[in-house]
Amino acid sequence: ESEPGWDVAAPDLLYAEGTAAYSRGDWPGVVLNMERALRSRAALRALRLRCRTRCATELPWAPDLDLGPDPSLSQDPGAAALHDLRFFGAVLRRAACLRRCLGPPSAHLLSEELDLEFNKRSPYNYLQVAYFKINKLEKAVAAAHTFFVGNPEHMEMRQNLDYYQTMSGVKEADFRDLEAKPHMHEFRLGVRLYSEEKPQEAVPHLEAALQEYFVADEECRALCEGPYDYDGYNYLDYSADLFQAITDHYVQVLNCKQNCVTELASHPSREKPFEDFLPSHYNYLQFAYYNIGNYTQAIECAKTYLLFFPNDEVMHQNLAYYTAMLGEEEASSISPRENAEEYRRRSLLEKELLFFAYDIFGIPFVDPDSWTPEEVIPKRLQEKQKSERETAVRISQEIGNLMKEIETLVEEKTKESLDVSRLTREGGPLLYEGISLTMNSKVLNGSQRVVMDGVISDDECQELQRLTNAAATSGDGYRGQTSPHTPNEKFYGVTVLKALKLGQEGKVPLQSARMYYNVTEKVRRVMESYFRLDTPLYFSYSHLVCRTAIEESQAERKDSSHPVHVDNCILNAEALMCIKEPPAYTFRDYSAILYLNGDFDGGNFYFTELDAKTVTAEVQPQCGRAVGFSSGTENPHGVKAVTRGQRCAIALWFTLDPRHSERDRVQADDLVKMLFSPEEVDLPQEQPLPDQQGSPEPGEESLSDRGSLHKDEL
Amino acid sequence: EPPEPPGLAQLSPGSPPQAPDLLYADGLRAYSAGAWAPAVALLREALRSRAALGRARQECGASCAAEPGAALPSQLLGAPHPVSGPGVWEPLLLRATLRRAECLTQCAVRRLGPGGAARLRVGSALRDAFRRREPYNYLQRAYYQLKKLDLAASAAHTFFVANPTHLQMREDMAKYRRMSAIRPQSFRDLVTPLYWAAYDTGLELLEQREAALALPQLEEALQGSLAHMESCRAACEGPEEHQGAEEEGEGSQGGLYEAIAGHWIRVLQCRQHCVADTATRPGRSFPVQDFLLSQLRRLHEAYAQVGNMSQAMENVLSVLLFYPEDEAAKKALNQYQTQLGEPRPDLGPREDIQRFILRSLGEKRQLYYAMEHLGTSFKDPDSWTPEALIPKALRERLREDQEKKPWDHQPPQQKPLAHWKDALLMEGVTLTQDAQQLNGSERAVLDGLLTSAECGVLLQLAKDAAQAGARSGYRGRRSPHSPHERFEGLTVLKAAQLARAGTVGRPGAKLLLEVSERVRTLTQAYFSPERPLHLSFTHLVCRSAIEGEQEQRMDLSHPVHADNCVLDPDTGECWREPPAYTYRDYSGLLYLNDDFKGGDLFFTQPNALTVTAQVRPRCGRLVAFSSGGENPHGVWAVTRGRRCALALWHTWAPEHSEQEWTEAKELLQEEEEEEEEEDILSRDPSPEPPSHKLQRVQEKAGKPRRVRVREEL
Repeated sequence: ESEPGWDVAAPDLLYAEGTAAYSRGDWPGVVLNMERALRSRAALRALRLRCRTRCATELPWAPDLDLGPDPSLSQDPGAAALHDLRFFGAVLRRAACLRRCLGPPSAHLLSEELDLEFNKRSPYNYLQVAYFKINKLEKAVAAAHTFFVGNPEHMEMRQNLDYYQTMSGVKEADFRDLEAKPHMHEFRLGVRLYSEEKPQEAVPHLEAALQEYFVADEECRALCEGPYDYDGYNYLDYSADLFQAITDHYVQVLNCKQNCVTELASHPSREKPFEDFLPSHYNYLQFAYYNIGNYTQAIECAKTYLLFFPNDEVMHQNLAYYTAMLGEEEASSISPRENAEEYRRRSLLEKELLFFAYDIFGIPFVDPDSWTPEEVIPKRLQEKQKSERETAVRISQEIGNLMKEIETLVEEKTKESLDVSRLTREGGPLLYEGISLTMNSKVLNGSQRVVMDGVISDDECQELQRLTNAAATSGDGYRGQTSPHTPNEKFYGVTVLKALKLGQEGKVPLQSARMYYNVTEKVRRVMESYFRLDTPLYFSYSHLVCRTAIEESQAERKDSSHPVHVDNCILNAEALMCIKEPPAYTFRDYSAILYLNGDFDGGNFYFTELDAKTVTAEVQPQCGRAVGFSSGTENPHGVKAVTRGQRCAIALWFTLDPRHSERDRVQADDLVKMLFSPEEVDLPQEQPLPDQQGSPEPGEESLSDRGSLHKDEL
Repeated sequence: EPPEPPGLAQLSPGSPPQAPDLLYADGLRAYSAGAWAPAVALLREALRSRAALGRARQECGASCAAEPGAALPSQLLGAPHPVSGPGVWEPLLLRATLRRAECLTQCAVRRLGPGGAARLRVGSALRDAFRRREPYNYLQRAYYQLKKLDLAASAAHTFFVANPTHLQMREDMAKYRRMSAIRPQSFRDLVTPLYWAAYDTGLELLEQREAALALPQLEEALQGSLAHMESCRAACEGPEEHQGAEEEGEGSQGGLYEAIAGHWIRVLQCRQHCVADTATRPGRSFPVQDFLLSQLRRLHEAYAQVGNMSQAMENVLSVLLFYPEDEAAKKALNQYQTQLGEPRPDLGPREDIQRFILRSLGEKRQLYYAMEHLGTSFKDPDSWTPEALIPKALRERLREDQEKKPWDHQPPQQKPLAHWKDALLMEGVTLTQDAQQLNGSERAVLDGLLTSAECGVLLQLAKDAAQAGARSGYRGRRSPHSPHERFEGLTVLKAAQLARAGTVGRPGAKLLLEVSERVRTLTQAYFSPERPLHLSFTHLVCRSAIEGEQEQRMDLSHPVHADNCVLDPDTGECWREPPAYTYRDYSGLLYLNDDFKGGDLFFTQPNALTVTAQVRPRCGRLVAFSSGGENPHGVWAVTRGRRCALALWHTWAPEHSEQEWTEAKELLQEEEEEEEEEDILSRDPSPEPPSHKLQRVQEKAGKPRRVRVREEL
């Protein structure tokens, strides 16, 4: 039941054959296949146009899709469902008509890349070479000219054309554009004759241009009803409900139809389309008709022009003059041209719908016409457009402004989505009772930062402080030496493994060492959860550190307890850079400090900008407070001097790379298992989650206890 | 609702739900960290958020469809030939679509907060996890750790109902049932729609002849089914249902109207499938056939029993809407009209059913139109669709498609009664030992399948059959497996024949058939809920110890073997090839007594030596196990007394189902029909001579069937 004769080979196959023939120098093959490809594509477009035009004229309702007697139009939800059925029945009928006419979808498929090649007139590039090779100069010249008209920047083709002009036997008439659009050809010819002050000859061409314009417009609009273009979507990711999907597709089609104005006003030799292309036809015609004394037609064209621009003063004066010349009574019986009136009415209806979609759903619409009345635009959009129109008279400037506005909207939307994703990324649950969120990234004037309180209790804080002092006293030969960072502070430190070993030897309470171990594990889990990490964190280093102010050294001190630095890169404050390479600990990803006390002076933690001077946030230590942050460029930080008393905190660094997990931690895990056997679970069963990764491999860059003491402390 | 566990964030009543996928991921992270209370709070919040999306979509869809401004153009509905001519309705199409989309978007934003439905949408992997009720798997363990045993049992039960083959959860369920601290009502399904419970309760009450009490339940079941269908239909407009179809890629190549038609057809296909979705129990793969119809049938019968003839009329007229030629419904209709007396023109079918049918037929008409003209596919889930609705060009093709289908691809005809008890156990039946307690896999011991009276009837049947053999000169031959035991066996067909001859009581033969079906149903429910089992062989077997020959005996009543393969104890392998009964898939032993010595069933390792479990027989106890090499088993010697059991084997292959069972059933039914005929004859003034009856009996006896004894336990 398909269109008779629709057995033409697919354009893509013919084009491929043509390029293959060109590669092997088969010039007659090139000519044959490329010409057939062009003809096949034209036939395909003609078929689509014919089918879509025919189906549009069919009535949407038919007995076979009706539901019998019409249900009463009540608020019954069942009645609403029946309305939907009747409504979509019309769509089914239209779709069936198109399928009957076009045949199976696969029969007329044309890839996007090939369509682009045809639009760029690439077949003519091959054809001009082939025709030249077989000595068909007239056809070669026409092909070359056709290609060049569509590709004015093509220098090689320009040289070819210059060469052809020097050849004997080549006539000026041979330089023909084989794909010239009839309406544009007639328009340019008419305008040229008009400019040469030959109105008698110009009028027939301008009238022909109008007729051809309406034909081309219908063709362009019919070809708009194609598949949905998932621009910016992979169609697998496109997710809209039924009516939203239909809206998106239909609005895209209407946008395409509206842009036929621009397409039909474009010519390859011009950078910009003709402005007000359709109304300008009537403008030229009214003056031409005046010049040849045809006042009836002059009035008709003037009135038609005023349909688009009702307030045009010059045209009103012209109309008054023509009316006086023809006679008031006769002139009043002349109406604007009917096809122009219908064209305008349909266009306004479409614009109204497109502006509505712009207003409600944010689907952008750039009106290509300058003659659109203001009332068509929703008020919210009207006020925006009015201010723009005041500053930009010409349509190109208005379009430019709209494009900038769209870019701004896109940028704002991108920024909002980034903000949303960032906010969504942080802010995970704190997991344990008693922990509260005190400051987030926004309050701390940065990103990937958090301050939490209540991570441990007062009793736990005191226990851990005693552990530190006991461990310091029991250290193997090591006694409270001054801090390696400042001669004004005394420094004690103990790692988790060391604490457990001391506990095993009975030199510190074993339960304190275990508590130290559990607290570090707790902080790790909270960090994973708060920053919503998809992969687990591994301990890179853990250290329980106390700094004690040396009393007689506090006057006149100008240094920091710990200078500003970044944990996984080398901070170059003068260049506002942070270089992520050794000897920096490049594998560190997140850091945390858990404070054990607050009864001292100074010792605040602070974040800065990359200049290491501009302070962006400051945190006052207190028992149970944890500061967590990412270890990268975004978080330079330092510690102020402890001027009185002792400041104790657990410093933790984490990595996402299991290869860099701390060897000490692995040993500590084994020691904990040996010292504290877990009790049997009452209900053994398979884990719903897949098993965690096996034990991580020992880190290649293991840090010795003593060496690490002098590298990085908080 | 049970009290909220600690740690659950208290949401303000009007706060918008959070994104389910983020909540779920947070919950899993908390779970893996061992933070049980936050895990519970987050998982429950994820479930709640997911439900909010479904509710909002349904409510917004209904309100927007009914809103005049967003209604699809109605001014042209009454004008089949628009006055303005062609091209006028396309802008109306888009205008109406825009209004509808605007209404839906704004409604979703009001209900779900900024971002509307899009923010709560989840990917296909997570959607499948929710469908399988995975959150409840985590919840039950978290509740257990929090010592909330009742909540843990509810979560476990909810997960198990949808995943009846999940072996770990089955074991956990058995453990929860044994915990005395858990209340029995805690074993409830938190997700299954309530209409299933109402339906099951209604059927149960009908079985107990309590029509008046059953009616509210049946009405609730019908209303719930229709409401669930509306919810399912509303979800069809979402993109989730389309993602599978979109991957075909053809739909995205069509033009504007082809694309819109494609969208709409997919919505209709999904909506038609809602009938099957509503009729499918959780954990099942196939729907209950004619679910709505069966409810309507029971309703009109129940209303008739309580004397409410108006309602009975309405419901039977509703049945006739589906099947206008249904004889039983027509007969009932005439009966109700007679009882009502005067004509009642105001009585008609139920309005909700009328609306359902009108809409469904409209959808089917469009689906068949698209099938004929647009190349789409549609498999009608309903058997009541009038054939006239199908275009003639399609009827032949559809008939051919149906003929091509092999039998085993069709969904089995499931009996609702068989599955209405939590999909696991019949009433009175308890799980005594599971596979873990029996040190193996695919093994179970269940008690309570038979009452003492039933055991007595079957024992009497075995005894009478044995005496019949003695009377005809047959003596209980020695067991083929052991010279120290006497063996007596009775098949179902033999029992039916003996009952027909009057040698044994008919109730015993009928009970034998009924009990074997009971065991088959239970075995299928426990081991093979997705794939039907058929009885392959049924044998009532008694073994008696021969006195004076029990000292010094070293043999077994039945040596160690596997039921569907040849066991090689030396290599531990089991060859599934003839002469083994390779088609056997599950085995069962239902014991009738325990007043004997020895005779226990035991399982071994593949070496046939190491005993892994032992089961003591008793009345009503069933040992069920898979027939493969994983379950080598034997029977200890019976050293005193008589051991009787019903041995059964089941198969998945319908071609190996037991034909004798069907014949036995037919034989017993024929006998019942003849009894009815005799009753009629006895009222005849001129009865036929007795010799005629005798001739008929002789005719039946003239075609005896040889009983093939294949295997005994």
